[in-house]
Amino acid sequence: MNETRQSQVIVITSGKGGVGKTTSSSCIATGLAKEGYRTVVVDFDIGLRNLDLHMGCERRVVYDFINVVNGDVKLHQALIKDKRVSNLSILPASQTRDKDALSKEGVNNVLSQLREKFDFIICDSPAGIEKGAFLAMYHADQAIVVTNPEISSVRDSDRILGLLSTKTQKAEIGEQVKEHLLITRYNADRAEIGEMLSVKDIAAILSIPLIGVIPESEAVLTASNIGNPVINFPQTDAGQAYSDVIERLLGKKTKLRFVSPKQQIWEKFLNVFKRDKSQQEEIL
Amino acid sequence: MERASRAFNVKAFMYNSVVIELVSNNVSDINKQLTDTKRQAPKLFENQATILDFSKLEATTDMPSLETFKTMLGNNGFSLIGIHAPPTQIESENRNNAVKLHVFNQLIKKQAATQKTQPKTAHQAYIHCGPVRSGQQIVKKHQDVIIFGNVSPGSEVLSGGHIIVHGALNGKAFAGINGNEMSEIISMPSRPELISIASRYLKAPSRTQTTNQYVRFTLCSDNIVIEQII
Repeated sequence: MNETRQSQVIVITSGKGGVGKTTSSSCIATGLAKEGYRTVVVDFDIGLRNLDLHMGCERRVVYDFINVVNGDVKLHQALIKDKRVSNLSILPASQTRDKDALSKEGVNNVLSQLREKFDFIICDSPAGIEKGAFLAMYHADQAIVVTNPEISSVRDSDRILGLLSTKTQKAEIGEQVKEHLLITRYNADRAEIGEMLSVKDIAAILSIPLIGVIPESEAVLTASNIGNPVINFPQTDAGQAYSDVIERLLGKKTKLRFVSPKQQIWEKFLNVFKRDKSQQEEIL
Repeated sequence: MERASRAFNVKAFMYNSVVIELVSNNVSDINKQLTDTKRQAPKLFENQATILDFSKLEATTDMPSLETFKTMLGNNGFSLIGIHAPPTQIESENRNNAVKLHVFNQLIKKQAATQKTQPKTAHQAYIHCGPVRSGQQIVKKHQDVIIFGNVSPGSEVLSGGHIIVHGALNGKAFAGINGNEMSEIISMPSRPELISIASRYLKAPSRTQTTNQYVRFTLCSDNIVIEQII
């Protein structure tokens, strides 16, 4: 392995299903590739393949991850080059097999080959704590734990963080996987009135550094339906939030956005009026 | 050379069990109390491994059969794994059973008595830095446990001595698991799932924590007492 290249394996995980792991994987991989890094995104959700749909390459899947693990084909035969971003490749999961088709040695072999070709390897973990999720996190250098602002999602993420600190290759040699917290489907207005866990609450429970907050946005569903990651739509809130995540992942200090309630113009006016009135009352 | 295939692995295992110390042999009273206990914490006692302790019972002729105890416990979700100080009738019934229950020679009470009379050499406390995550378990049978971090819901801390948490204790804490009734649990404001000191337990204390004061759980006359300190 070329040590100077310092390729990084990043697992996108959560424990709970439906929180936005695949959406985040596709956006983070696309974002890193747009920044000029050679990036591959690997779908570990064997039997429930979805990443190809998010990336819009479902009609181009010929060979898959399991074919490479089993040695049926060469790695380059299974990799699909993204049509929008030149540095990006996708390694899709098998839809006809299950997670037992993965083996630790097989995954290790594939990741070693990927480390030689790419700067970033994004592993899209399946939900749960079964074999697929375990193998997705086992080789990770960094982990992005995706959480929705709801208590069940936070608890599952806490469980995953426990596994990351004990069941990874890094943990076995006494090192630590670098952990990041990504909150998705956040609605600042609902958090403000106590209908949803706030960013502060989630960060306090999970006690790991926050890498980003993705606001609840209709654009995410639209983007996934057309097979184009929402980060490719910079005019949307979610697209901008994912771009911020990429900047933070690359070490830049970007201010957190979309965490305060949106104020309507009339509300701003009303607040100014209220402030004036209270000041008047104080004077009186 | 081909290795012989293994039929099983031998592994160490520790499992929490409850001791039901019988003070009456009245079947209806026992059944009623079991039902009440189960109702207080259904999930906690679901399939709970249970040891039946006969040491406090007077030897009588109208002792219910072992099968009756098994059925009673089973109906209430408890799983009987052993007996302690069984009367002759229960012991012979167990001996004649195809699947015998384990007969425990010594339970925690006796160990507690020796601990009170014979002060032991101080053991070094176990210090854990960082959060205890959901699903994780810290077990230190002969040490105090000090944690710098939060104890998440779904995690467990078991200690033979004290448990001190410099963070929120939102999981389960078992202090004095060897029967040391002097053990204490101290934590920052939190909502623990379960507090246990020397086998006495307090489930989900509903105290609303609004201050920054530490909370101390101690055992006083078989009851767990909560007080705010510092």
